[in-house]
Order: sequence, then C-alpha cells, then structure tokens
Amino acid sequence: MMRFVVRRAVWLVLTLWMVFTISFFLMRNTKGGPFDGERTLTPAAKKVLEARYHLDKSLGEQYWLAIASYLRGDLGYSIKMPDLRVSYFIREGLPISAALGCLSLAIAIVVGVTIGVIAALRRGGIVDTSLMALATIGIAVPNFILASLAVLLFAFTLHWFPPAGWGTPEQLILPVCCLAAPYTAYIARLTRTSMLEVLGQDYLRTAMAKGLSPSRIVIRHALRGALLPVVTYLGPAAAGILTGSLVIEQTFGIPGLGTHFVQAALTYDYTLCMGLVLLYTLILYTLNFLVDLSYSWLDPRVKLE
Amino acid sequence: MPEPSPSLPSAQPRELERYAALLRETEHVRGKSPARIAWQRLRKRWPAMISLAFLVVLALLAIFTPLLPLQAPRAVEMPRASLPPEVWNEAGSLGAKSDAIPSEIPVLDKISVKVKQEDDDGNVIEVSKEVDPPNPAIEQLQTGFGYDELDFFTRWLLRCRVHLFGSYAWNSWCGTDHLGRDLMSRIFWGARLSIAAALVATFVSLVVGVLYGAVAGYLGGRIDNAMMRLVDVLYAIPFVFIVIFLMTLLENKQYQETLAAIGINRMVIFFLMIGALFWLTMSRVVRGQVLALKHQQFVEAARSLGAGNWWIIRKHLIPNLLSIVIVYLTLTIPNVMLIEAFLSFLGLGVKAPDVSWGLLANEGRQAITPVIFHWWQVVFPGAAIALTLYSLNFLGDGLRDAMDPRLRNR
Amino acid sequence: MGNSLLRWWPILVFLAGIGGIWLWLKKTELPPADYTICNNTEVKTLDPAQAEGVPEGRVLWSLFEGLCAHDPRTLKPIPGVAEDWDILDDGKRYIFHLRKNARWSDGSPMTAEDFVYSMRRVLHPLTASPYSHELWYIVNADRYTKLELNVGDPLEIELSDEEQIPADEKLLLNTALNSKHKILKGKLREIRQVPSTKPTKPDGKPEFDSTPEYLVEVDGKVQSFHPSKERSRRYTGLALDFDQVPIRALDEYTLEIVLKHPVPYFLELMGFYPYSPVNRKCVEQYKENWTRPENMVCNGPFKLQHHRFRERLRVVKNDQYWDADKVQLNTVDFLSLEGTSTALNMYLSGKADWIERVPPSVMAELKRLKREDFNPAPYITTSFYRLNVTNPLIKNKKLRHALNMAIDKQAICDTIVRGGQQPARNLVSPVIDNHDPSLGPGYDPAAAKKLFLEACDELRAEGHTIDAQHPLTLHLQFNNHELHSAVAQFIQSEWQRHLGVRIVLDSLEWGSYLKNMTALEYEISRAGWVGDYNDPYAFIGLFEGSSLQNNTGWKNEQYDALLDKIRNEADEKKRRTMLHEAETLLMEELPFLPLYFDMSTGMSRTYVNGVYPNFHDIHPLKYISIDQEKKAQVLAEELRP
Repeated sequence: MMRFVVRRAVWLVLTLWMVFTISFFLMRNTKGGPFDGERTLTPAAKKVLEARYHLDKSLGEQYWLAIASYLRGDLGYSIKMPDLRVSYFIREGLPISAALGCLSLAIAIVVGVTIGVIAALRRGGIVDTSLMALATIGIAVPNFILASLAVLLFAFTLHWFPPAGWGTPEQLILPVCCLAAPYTAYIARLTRTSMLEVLGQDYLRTAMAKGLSPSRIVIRHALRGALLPVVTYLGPAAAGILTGSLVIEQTFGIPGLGTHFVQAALTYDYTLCMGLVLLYTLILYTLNFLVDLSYSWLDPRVKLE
Repeated sequence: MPEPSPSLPSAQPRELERYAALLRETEHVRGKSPARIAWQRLRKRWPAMISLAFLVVLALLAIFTPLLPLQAPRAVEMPRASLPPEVWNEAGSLGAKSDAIPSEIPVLDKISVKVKQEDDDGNVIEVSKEVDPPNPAIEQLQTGFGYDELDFFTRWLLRCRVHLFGSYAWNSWCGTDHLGRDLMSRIFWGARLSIAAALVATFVSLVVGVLYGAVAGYLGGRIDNAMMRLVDVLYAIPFVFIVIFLMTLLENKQYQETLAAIGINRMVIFFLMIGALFWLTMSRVVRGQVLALKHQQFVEAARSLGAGNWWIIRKHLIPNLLSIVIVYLTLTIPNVMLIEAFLSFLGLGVKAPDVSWGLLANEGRQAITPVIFHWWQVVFPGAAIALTLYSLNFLGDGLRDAMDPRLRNR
Repeated sequence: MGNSLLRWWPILVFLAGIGGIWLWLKKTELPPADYTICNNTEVKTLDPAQAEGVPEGRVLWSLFEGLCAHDPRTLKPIPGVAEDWDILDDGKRYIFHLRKNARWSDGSPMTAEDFVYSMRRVLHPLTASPYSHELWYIVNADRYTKLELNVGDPLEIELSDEEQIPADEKLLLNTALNSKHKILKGKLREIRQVPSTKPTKPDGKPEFDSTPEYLVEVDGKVQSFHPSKERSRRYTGLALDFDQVPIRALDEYTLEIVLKHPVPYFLELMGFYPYSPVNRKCVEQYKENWTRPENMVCNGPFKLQHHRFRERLRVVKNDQYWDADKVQLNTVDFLSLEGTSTALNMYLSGKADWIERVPPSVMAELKRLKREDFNPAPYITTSFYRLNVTNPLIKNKKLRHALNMAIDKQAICDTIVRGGQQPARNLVSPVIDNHDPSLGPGYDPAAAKKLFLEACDELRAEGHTIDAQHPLTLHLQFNNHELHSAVAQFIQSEWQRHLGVRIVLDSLEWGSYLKNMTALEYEISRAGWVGDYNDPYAFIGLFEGSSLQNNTGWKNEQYDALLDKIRNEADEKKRRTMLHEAETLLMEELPFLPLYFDMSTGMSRTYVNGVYPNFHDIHPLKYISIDQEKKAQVLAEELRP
C-alpha cells in the first residue's frame, strides 16, 4: 500500500513536469502574444509588461524561471488581469466548479445506474430500448442546444427557475441537470453493459440457486461487480467536468473554472493557462488514484501494486 | 494449404482411420465464421438494423448531395432571412426555379490556344497548348453555389445536377437561416463536412491508436510501460487547451501555405487534429486487448500446435481485436461530432462560409431566445445530429452485443 | 442499527454534500440591488491607470470622479472635482480650481497633489498604462513616459535600498512612485549601451542589453545606473525629473497643467476614467491589492462594497461624496455575463435593468415589436476595412477606389447589421459635433468597373498577370464573429459580381487577426474604431504615419504635416477647416474602405429614469433613479406566465 502511494506520487511529479514542458513549448510557439490588443501598446509600455512576466528573456531562461517559481509553489500573476494571482482564480473558481460538478456527477450516478440496471434486467425489450433512448439524449444532442432549450422551457415558459446567474440554490438546478445529462448517458450505458456481463456470471447463478430474492441479488451482488467500469469512468469524468462545463458556465453565467481554460488560452494568458493545466493534471491524477483505491474496495480480487 | 498444418503424432493405422473419419465428419459441420455469426445476430436486433439503414442512406445522401435539386447553400439573400419552413409554395408545387443557380453549364472541354515559347535555341516560336477553358464558366457554377473553389468530383456532380434539373430547386422545406440561406441545403452540405470530419478523425485515431496500442501490447515489458506512460501524460493535458493552441498554431500563414502546397487545406488539418486527440483511448483499448489475448489459452494452444506468428495474428488476434475496434469506432464517431459542435460553440470549429452541423446547431442556438423563436433553425440541424448520433450509438451497442463471444449462446 | 446506518454512508455523504452547498449559497446570497446592469465581461482591473476596456470604464466612472465629469445627455464636460477652470495662453494652459468639499471615501480631503500623483502615475514608465498617450499633450510628458532622455536632462532616480523588494516583484506595478523611497536628483551625463549577456547572433554583430547604462551626475559625483551592475544602487525607477512635466499643484486646491499645443477636447479628457484621482496612501499601503473592496479608497458617487469574481461587483452609495444628496441609488450591481444571449435572458426575466447589447439575431424583431426599451443610438464608432497599401496590388489607388465604389453599403446596413446603422462614405463619425464631412463617392458599380479595368491595365504594366484565368485575387481577413463573417461574405459577392475580383475569406482567431494586422501580413482587414472624445481628431489622427493604430502601411507627408498644423492651431474655425482638408486627402488616398457608422444596441428598462441615449453609451449612475411603482407594474406584466 505504502509503496503504491509513493510510486504514484513520484509519477505525479514526473507527469506534472512533462505536462508543463509540453504545454510550455506549445504555448510559446503560437503566433499571437498576450500584449496584442485592439489598441497597439506603446513599445515602452510593452517592454515594461514583458519584463514583468520575463517574456523579454530567452525561452530557455523563461522555462527555468517558471519551473523555479512553481517549485516555490508560486503560480505567478495573471497576464491579462495584472492585479490577480493565478491562485486567486483557482480559489474563486474551483469551489464553484466543484459544487456544480459534484452535484451533477451525483445525479448522473444515481439516475444513470438506475436506468442502466433496469435496462439490463429488461434486456432487448421495449423498456430497455426506450430507457436507453431517453438516456442517450444526453450524448446525442449537443449540450448547448439542450441548455438553451431548457432555459426557454423552464425559465421563460414555465417560470420555474431563473435563467442564469449564480448565488442562490434555485439558480443551481438547471445548470446541474444540463451538465449531468451527458454523464448520465455514459453511466447508464456503461452500467447496462457491465450489468449484462455480470448477470451471466457463475456467482450470480449460485446466489440465485441459494434462493436469494432477486432485488437482493441485483443490489448486493450484481451491482457491486457491475460498478467497476463506472468507477473507472468517474476519474476522467470528474476532471473533465471541470474543463467541459464551459458550455454550461457560459449559457448560465456561472463563474466557475471552465471558462478560464478557454479564455486564458485564447488570450495567451500564459501564466493563467499553465496554472490551470497543472491544476487539471493534479486533479486528474488525484481522482485516478482514488479510483484505484476504490477498486480494491469494490472488487477484493484487485490488488494495488 | 500453404499454412503450416499441425503435424499429427505418429499413430497406429486404426487410429489414423479414426482421425480420418473425424475429419470427414467435421467437413459437414463446418463452423460459421465469427463475422457471419455476428452479422446473423446483429440482424435480429431491430434498433441496430434501423440505425444501420439510416446511416447508409445518410452516407449516400451526403456523397450525392450535389446531385440533389437543392438551393445554393451559401447564397446570402437577406430579404429571405429566417423564413419558416415551406413545403408547398404559392403555386402549390414542391420546388421552383432559383435565381442563384445557373440553368445551363457550357461544356467545359479543354481548348487549344497558341502560346509563345522559347525553343532550345532561344527563338520565340508559337506552340499550341491544351488548357482549361476560361474561368467564367466554372466560376459561374461555383459562385452560383457560393463556393470559391470546388474539388473535381463535386464540380462534376454539380454539372450533372444542372443538366438534370437546370435551376429548379426544392422549396425551403426546413426554412431559411438568419442570412436567408436555405437550411435544408445547408444541412445536406453540412453533412458532407461533418461526416467527413468524423470519418477522417476516426480513421486517424484508428491507425495511430491501433498501431501504437498493438506495438505496446505485443512487445510488452519496459517498452510497453514507457509507451503507456506517455499516453498517461498526454491524457493529463486538458484537450480544449491542446485544440486551441494547435488551431492558433495552424492559423499561421506560413504553416498553412506549406501544407497547402502538399494539398492539405484548413479543413483537413482540422480533421487530422481531432483525430490526433482521439488515438489515446484507442491505443489503450487495443493494448489492453492485445495484452489479454497474448496469454489466452487458445493462442497458447495454437502456438503449441506449431502455428506461426502470422497465423496467430491473422486467425486469432485480428478477429478478436476487430470486434472491439469496430465497437469503439462506432462510439468515437459520435464523440468527434460532438467535439466538432463544441468547437463551433466556442467559435473555433468550422469557419463560415464553410458549413457543418455543429456550426448550424450553434447558429440555431442563437435563434431561440425569448424574443424570437426560429425553432426550425435549431430543430432541424439538432435533429440531424441527434438522429445520426442515436444511430451510431445503437449500432455500436448492437455490434458489441453481436460480437461479444461471451454472449454468443444467449 | 449503527451498522445499517453505516451501510448507507454514500447516501449520507450525498445528502450532506447537497446540504453543505445549499448552506454555502444561502450564506453568501446577496439581496437584490436597486439597479443591476449587465457589464459584459469581468473587469480586468479596477486600477484606473491600468484599465482600458468599456466594462472597466463603466465601473470606474461610478467609483471615481475626475477633474471633470459628464453631462448625462450630451456627455459634454461639466465640473467634477474641479468646480471651475481657467484656460489661458491660447488654450495651452489650464488652471483647475478644486472644490473644497471634495473628499475621499475614507473622509480625508482631496487636494491638487492627489491629481499630480495620479497623472504622474499614469505617465510613469513602469506603470505601462494603456492610456498614457492621451496625456502626452502635456509638455515633456511623452519624454517622461518613453524615457527619451538626452544628455544634460535633469533626472530623478527612485531608490529602494531600505525596502526589500523580492526579485520578481521588483517590476510589479505600484512598486515605483513610493513616498517611502529616497529620490536622487541629478543630471544625465552619458547613456552607454551595455553588451548583452546573451550569446551574440551568428552574424557576429554585438547585441546590446535592452536597458542602457545611465551615467548620472548627482551632487557633483557621477554614478552609474544599470540593473545588471552589481555596484549600481538598487533603483525602482529612473526617469526624467518630473519637475520638467508641468502638472503642478499651485496650492492645495489649484492645479496647473501646461500643454504643448492647444487641445480643444482636453477638458473631455480630464473626465476620462484613466485620469481619475487615486489615493496615494491606499495604493502604497496595499500595492496590487488596493482595488479589493476591503482596501479601496475612492472619490466617486459610489464605493466598492463587494466583488464576487466573475459574477458581480456591487457598489454602494458613497456618503463622503460631495454631491451625495443628488445620488438616488443605494446599491448597484455590475454583472459579469459574457454571452449576449445570457444577458438578454437576464434582462427579460427582470434580473437586470440594463444590457449593453442584444444578440444581432434579435435586433430586427425588437425593432419590429417597437419595444419602448430598445432605442439604438448613434455610437461613436466607424466600421471599416483596412487596406494594406504596402501590398503590390493594393498599392494601386484606382483599385482601392474601385473596391470602395463597388460596395452597396446601404444594403449592408439595411439587411445585414440591421441596428439602424448608417452607411459610411467618410471616416469621421457623424455624431461628432461641428465636423464638415468629406464624403467619398457612393455606390456606383459601373464607375467602379471602369476604374477597376484601368487599375488592371496599370497592374499588368507592372508585370502582374490578370486575365480570365487568373482573376485578381485578394485575401480578406476578419476576426471570427457572426456579423463580420456575414458582412465579409456580402462584400465578397459584391466584388465578385461587379469587378470579377476573387476574394478569399480568412476568418481568424482574435490573436492571429491582430498579429496579422500589426505585422501588415494581410491584404484587407476588418476594423472598427471607437473615438475616445468628441472631436474629429479622434478619427483623423488614426492614420497619421507615426500612429501605432494606423496598421495600413500608409504614410503621407502632406497628411502628417497637416495634422501637425492642426495640433498647433488655436483658432477653432481654421482648425475645423484643416480637419476637413485632412479628411479630403484621406478619402482621396483611401487607405481604408469605410463601411458603416455603428449604433449602440442595448436595452434599458422604461422604469429607469436618467438613462439618455448618447454617443458613448455612458450613463452616469449619479443621475439614475428607479420608478418603483412602474417597475412593479412593468415586471408583473412581462413576467406573467
């Protein structure tokens, strides 16, 4: 166990470094620069700003300076919002994205697993097909269309929820549901497939032969095995929800992190961009680590190595 | 039989006879090939079969879109902006003559012209040369449909279409968009781009992913470990970020010109790039499967019977890999289409005047507000995407069920 | 029992999570503000010296008040912190008399010294303010900012020996101009280029460090100043002695500013938000954090109360404001909402009272509905296409004119942009007072074709191949946007039809688009220009050869000489005539293709009083009030299910 944790930690550091290196050189190869604006800056002002972010130094120097500052735990200042540290962006945005993401994932798991299990039990029938068709809406209709339609229906026709904004619990419901839709679909499909597989296994026949009630068999025995692929999927999904929630964040005007991923890259805000990329890597790694831990809990045959 | 056959152990004549009898028997009960079984099983699943039929029709329609009597997909006509769907026009017919489309196309054979040329001695002589006809005729056709340039195949189809239908075109059965362009025509032309994008991207992911995964899985050991770690690292970079930077990188005129010189335009780059993002998962899937198969009993058995590497790869690895790859492909295509739509939402995808489903969906999104509700601008492109993605998903499910050997007896 | 509870832990965790989020939201929930506006994007900074965007401007104008303020209807300069002023020396010397009752939000009095500090801060080289150039009308100001030093100039060096400034914060804004720092005054003796530490280029030429070494005579001794020199003193700033820049506090309440030449719109500039006064004590104490709600000291009708990053900024009435009795709103929210559709949704559901612009797709419908709250007003913006005159084809003047005449601009306004925009035949926006526009020719495809054929002949003579097989091909670049794309496609078809020019459209990302434009790597490029002040010069100056915003490669000596004369002309009538002349010359040379004059396309609720349509779309919050009765009535009517 200890060895497993240490090995993972070492890999995390190595991956962070490699991701940093790849992103760094990818970013600096693009054509535009952070100080291009509609109004051309005076050369003097540009020089001062470039010096502030070490952009006047050679690429190699910049690379080492950045690494040194990251090693000190300093993510630096944003280029486009010069008063703010990158850590401030994360501190403000991450809790919001996390709240949104956790709620969406929770809903996606509950609804997705339920649909998947029922569909698997009624395999091939009309219930199966219609349930899966319902779930697939989430991945068949682009998210932004779903969100726009939801706003029109629930905010303007039915007047149930506010159309956008952040700050009250009511404002949370629509975005959470829209964000959950594609994940529900994936989870439902995963559950259905793995459930079908598990249902054919010997230990379930044994359980059935023992005369256990069907609901008990499904919940206690089948589901536990069937959840493995779903759990595997959760790691990347949770990390993806942070970056992929962009559509929902823009449609509903939510100040989460997702928008920054795109905005920072589009405006060449190098420091912010890098901070976010590294954050993403860190989150993805941590979640995958948790997923691996939960394997051994769900399936005693799995050993951590 | 060119393949090395398993050498039979030396045996008594009586036993040999028994073997011969067994062989004769097996000839009558020859097994069906896995593909055949899969197909038979797939045929029984109606959602998958309907999906397959839909996809085939869609592909044909997309390929032969220029032949259909559609309106010009790019002709901006502001007075007709955002008109609701109209199946029968005032005259009660399904179509009418369209001003934008040329009614006749002159035959465009090569013409011979005299050009002055220097011969080897430096004297100026006149040589006759076969050249393309003057541009206007081609231009007329292209500009009629709103294109700067068209590839040979499309131009040929368009000429056929003008020969067949003249300037007759169907009404705007799906309404018009905010610039007065016929939405149905745009959906059809958009299908070409969207489907092409999905196929090219998927193909790239297939080639790269399968090669990478198979090599890693087959070689195993340290190389496998290193190769998979690289995949892990690439996974850890958020994909939006890579897309944006690659896109901006490729907007560099120098790169574009270099690539254009070898016949790769912006759109192709776009396809390739998305494909390059998707090979990661494919390589993981393939590697896992190869690794699992390598130590399967039937592979070991074949090997102990003296089967060569090639035989094993051909008869055991490829068929077993194929099923999982095909299933994964049917799930990648929808993903690519969604990514294309997502990029259009960000304004990073296909650029006007090119048209794709993602672009249409995004334009449609802007047409439904509490003030205006041009439902047709979102419903039709949305339905096109949704139906295609539904079909692909159901087909994928059906294929998986049909190809899964473990489900074979149920 | 305990066991069965434990078994349900995932559900308990789930419920606890929802409860936690609900509590968190409830705890941070804010009551609705009196007035809410959708402020487009999040403000990049609230430091006036750093700000440059429209959203920043709206917030800053509510938090700060400059020497002058704006009349809410005409935007003419009216007294702000200065209650009166004298203009002397043919418009070159301004004496501002500050009101004695003006106070900072912390209660301390405002003095002329505050304005000297604030403007100096904008001009200081290390501030890198995007708007320093508008103050360069002041004598020596440009030399101060650009560090254009000559031998013999008096200098001042700011030393930070006592204070430990971490290495990478050394260049942080707000570290210079600290009153705790020691100031050395001296005379510049020599500027020496320092060989760069970087390896020399392959061609063998020695490279110099971007910062030269300054040898300065201080108290009779020559000292050297260069960042890399070990022995040099640690200095945060080296600049021209500010005494050379005539922004002076004559006494506590009198400020004198001397200009190089008369600037008729100088008072208007003094109301511009970058030149708002900032509180020195606050800036020095909190450094880059001085704009946080808990730290910020301001002097406007409102003060910052709450800032939820990328969600909303809330300002509340500032009781210390000298005219606080007139301010009717108690709280105002600025929402950061990027999408125009989202903003429209907020507006229509009654969650916002003002939006900056509606999506282009709904414009026609809003006009058709004749909504009382949708009143597009002329906006001080001209949309045009830049022409890169360094291009061998576009260099041809006849071609430029042919392109101009072959565009049906009226059709663009009527059918594509559709917000009531006016077709443009010149550069200067018609909202600018007292300008006699010099109109270019209108839409005339026949004349365009004739000119075009002549141009083709000239080009062929220069060796270009233009015939049926090789039509003239031009690239048109624009930043990726629905509207720009539609206009470009329309113009593409116009040129193709009337002239037979083949146009390749390049729809680019913002960054690439700008880069191509500044590097002159384009042929035709979309552009828009917002005038900063109500004077033709705001537009005419754009195409000066040395202007950084020119970006067309066009440089005309006659034009530049004319501009020089315009700047030094004190007589308003003569000046206007010359501005007309300059525009005539510009329309004759045509380094750009005027398209249309823009409109503001926002919406403002009818129950809000004091929002008047004007050319900058600025609505000072000081004059705004809400008719509560009407509000209830309007919203009840609109939100009826």
